[in-house]
Amino acid sequence: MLQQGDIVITHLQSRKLKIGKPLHQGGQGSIFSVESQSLVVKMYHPSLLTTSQAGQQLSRLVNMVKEGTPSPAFIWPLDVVTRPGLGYVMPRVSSSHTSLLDLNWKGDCPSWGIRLRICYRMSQAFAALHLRRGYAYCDLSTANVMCDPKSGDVRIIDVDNLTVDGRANVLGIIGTPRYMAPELQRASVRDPCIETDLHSLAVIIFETLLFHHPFLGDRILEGPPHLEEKALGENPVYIYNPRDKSNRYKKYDKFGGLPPSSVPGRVQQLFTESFVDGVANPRLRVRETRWQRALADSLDNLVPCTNKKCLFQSSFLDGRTDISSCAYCGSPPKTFHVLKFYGQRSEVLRTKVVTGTEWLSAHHCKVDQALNFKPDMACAKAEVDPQYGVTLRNVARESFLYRAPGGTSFSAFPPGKRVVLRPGTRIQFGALGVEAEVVK
Amino acid sequence: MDRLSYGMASVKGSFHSRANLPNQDAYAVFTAGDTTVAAAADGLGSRPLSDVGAQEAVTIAAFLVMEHLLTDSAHTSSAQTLEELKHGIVRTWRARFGRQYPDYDSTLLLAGVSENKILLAQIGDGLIVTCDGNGVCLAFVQPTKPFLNVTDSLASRDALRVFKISEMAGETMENIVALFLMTDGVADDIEDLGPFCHSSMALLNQKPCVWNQTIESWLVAWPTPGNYDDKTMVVISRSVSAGHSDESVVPAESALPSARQGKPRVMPMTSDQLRSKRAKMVSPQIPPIDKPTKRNGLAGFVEQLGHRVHLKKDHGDAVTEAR
Amino acid sequence: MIAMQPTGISRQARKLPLIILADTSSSMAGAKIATLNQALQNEVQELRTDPVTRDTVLLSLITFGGIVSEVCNVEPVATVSIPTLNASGGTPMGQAFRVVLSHLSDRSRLPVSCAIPTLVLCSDGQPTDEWRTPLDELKRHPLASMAVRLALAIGPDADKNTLAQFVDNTEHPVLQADEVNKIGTFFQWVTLHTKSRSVGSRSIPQPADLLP
Repeated sequence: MLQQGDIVITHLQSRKLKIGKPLHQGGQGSIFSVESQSLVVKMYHPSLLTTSQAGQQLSRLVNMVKEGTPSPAFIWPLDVVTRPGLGYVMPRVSSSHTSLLDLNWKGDCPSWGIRLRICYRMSQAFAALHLRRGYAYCDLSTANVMCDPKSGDVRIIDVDNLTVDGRANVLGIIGTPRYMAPELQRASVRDPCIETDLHSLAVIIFETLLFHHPFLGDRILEGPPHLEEKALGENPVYIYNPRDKSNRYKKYDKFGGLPPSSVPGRVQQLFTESFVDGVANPRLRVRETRWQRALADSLDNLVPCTNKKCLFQSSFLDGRTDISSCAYCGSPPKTFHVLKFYGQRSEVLRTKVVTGTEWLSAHHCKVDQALNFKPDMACAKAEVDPQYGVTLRNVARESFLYRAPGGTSFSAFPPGKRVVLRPGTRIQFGALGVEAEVVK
Repeated sequence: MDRLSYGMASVKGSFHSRANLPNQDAYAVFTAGDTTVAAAADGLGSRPLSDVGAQEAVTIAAFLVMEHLLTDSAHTSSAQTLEELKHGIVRTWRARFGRQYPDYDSTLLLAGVSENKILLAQIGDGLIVTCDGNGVCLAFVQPTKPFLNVTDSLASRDALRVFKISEMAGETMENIVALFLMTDGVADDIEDLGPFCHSSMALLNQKPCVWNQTIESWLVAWPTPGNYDDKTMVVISRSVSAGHSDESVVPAESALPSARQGKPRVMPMTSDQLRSKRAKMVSPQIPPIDKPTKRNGLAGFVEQLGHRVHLKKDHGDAVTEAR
Repeated sequence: MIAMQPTGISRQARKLPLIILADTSSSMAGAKIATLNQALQNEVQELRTDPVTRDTVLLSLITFGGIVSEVCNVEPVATVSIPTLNASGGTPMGQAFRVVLSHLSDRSRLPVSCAIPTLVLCSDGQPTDEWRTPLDELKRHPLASMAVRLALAIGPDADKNTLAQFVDNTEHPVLQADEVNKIGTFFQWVTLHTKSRSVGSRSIPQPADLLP
């Protein structure tokens, strides 16, 4: 058994680590800090693995170390430990992070902006895992997602249960009941796969944004515990299923939570797809890039509240061009403008709220850019000028065009210059650029 | 002979006014005495400056065809003359832009009608359709492009080979009652050319003064879903309805045609005006035309001039001067 | 009274053919075939949920692993069902190119009114048969050469050189598997841009070209 003060030599890089305090004891193993380094060591309980299982897990861990992490969000094995037992070394999660489980149910409820960011970063991390590596995570739950409530940053821990191709992971982990896909719950499918991850992701996003579970309606919550298992496995009915009202959730006063109308229609639509169509047919479960786009667009449509004590800190614009008061505390919103972006067919691509601190990225401004937040491809930055109010500065290396309200022709909008935003101002963002109009 | 009437309209491919993205279709009708020339051009979407290329193609080609028809309106031209006219159009257009001419790439549709002949020329997609008194409508060039968004064009390597040009005279010519020019935004969606042209000819029963707005209403209400192309349609006809002598003095527009209005660009000219306009079209790279002709009292009209074509963004100016 | 809209005008949106060439050879086994499957499912879901592409894209899927197999043939993306692909056999990429050539050189396989086909090669780029000649033939055939060629590199050890030769065009770089949703945005572009049949081509200036 590992103890504080022991020295451990890692298997692949022969690093010398001095074990510090034990941090956590779980079902699989124990986690120890490492002195003087921002690392931790996880050691599996000796009785957990048979010899052959240990051999398999060792080779998987070695593989993972060699491949490296698909995304900085994963707390990924950096090296393997073979003596005194099997384990691995990974980066330490900063103490500013707390688990999403705690955040959702125990901690201060963070603002919409933070929660959307958490969901976005989760989706982004799993997109990398699924699309770059083809791995399934298998045990996605709020306990495995660590978040920084100030920045919305996310770290995914417990990555030692990954599988490929629907093959079982070494320890046979299939998931956490609350988040497991129904087909795993009722054992009609034996092994987790990427589609079961997608189910878990959708449930977690729902819980994080609306604070209740998408398949546990009033009757289940009021009834005995065994109903819950059935509700999640045998016959899961989405609590807001438009065609099946048998599992409705209405008792917000009693059980908490926010109604689905709290989030933009587009996000509600993705919930319906995942929980109605996606239950029976895993192929139809919403994929990460669509979550990312809907979440990023929702972030773009938050109007901040002036009340610092407001629980949610902002309201959604959701298709309107103006709101007069915060949806949660009634206080007036901060002064804001709304940019409406038109595509090359004059269709409305998106709207974005601008208060004076926002960036416009390549995917806002260019026709052929999927979600792209690369800093060197930022196109414009909102700034507040004491005299002129909110302006937009061209931070790209090409010239844009702009037309003042009521103007008849477009003028040059060179790099470095700013344009005052007034209702009716139009800006065209250069080569293959879209056109934006200030609608408020 | 019956006066010719014409109607035209062009609608930008997006129904929201986006003044900074120009209509890549260009079109114009030029008249001088009894001769009328209609031209339409469709700038290639994949080329950054194709709207300018299309405008220049219309002006240059229409002018050269007008000149050709005025120079020799009586006789059917020889194949060689037509070839030279074709070469002249392509070379003058390319010389306009120097080596960057592919950036201005465009298609071109031309129809010229004089007292005795009709000249048709086409490179690239779109349709020129001639309709006779019996309702028989024929496309000048059968559509051959394999896919919708690919076409021959003025900058193509084999432009001179694929550019079709021919003249009609005599009875064939006399029988024609209407000519249609349509860019691909219109032409590509026509499933049945016959019914389309017959129903379009209902236009001719109306007074020519409403033709423009009629055509525009058709283009604005285009029924094919997902068609975001610029759409242009020009019609020339021997109208036997009320005379339209007013049309010939419709003032030319100095600005580029507004996308939704489809204002006609008409250039009625005397021969003096033509000559002075000719003198203004110059380009250093094209060798001078060295065939002076003394026919039709236009002696001295065709002079030994080099062509130097000024690159002007708004060449609508050139049109107004001619008045 | 204004004359009525002419008859004889099509009421059908113009079609966008998309042909996917997927490497299902044994070198793709494990995580790579899983990545490929995910990329395909992602792409289909993207195309199916985008209002522009939902009713217009026609999908064909040709796999090459051991043999060349035509899995889907010009099917509307709104209803197509792509099976989970398994990895086995050699990598007959050259043979796959020949099959694509036979598809593209027969104009009657596609609807009369459709845009230039888009061809996407999804592979780790390790062919086991003679592929350069069939690729050359594909690029030189008057009809088949009109297709726009894209490539999706699968796996961190993908041979990008082979894939780059397939694409052969600076406008469309080789994409990584997780950039698969760029194919969707690419369709936004291709439908708006008419290309000339034969011109010395200059690429459209991308923003990077505008650097001082």
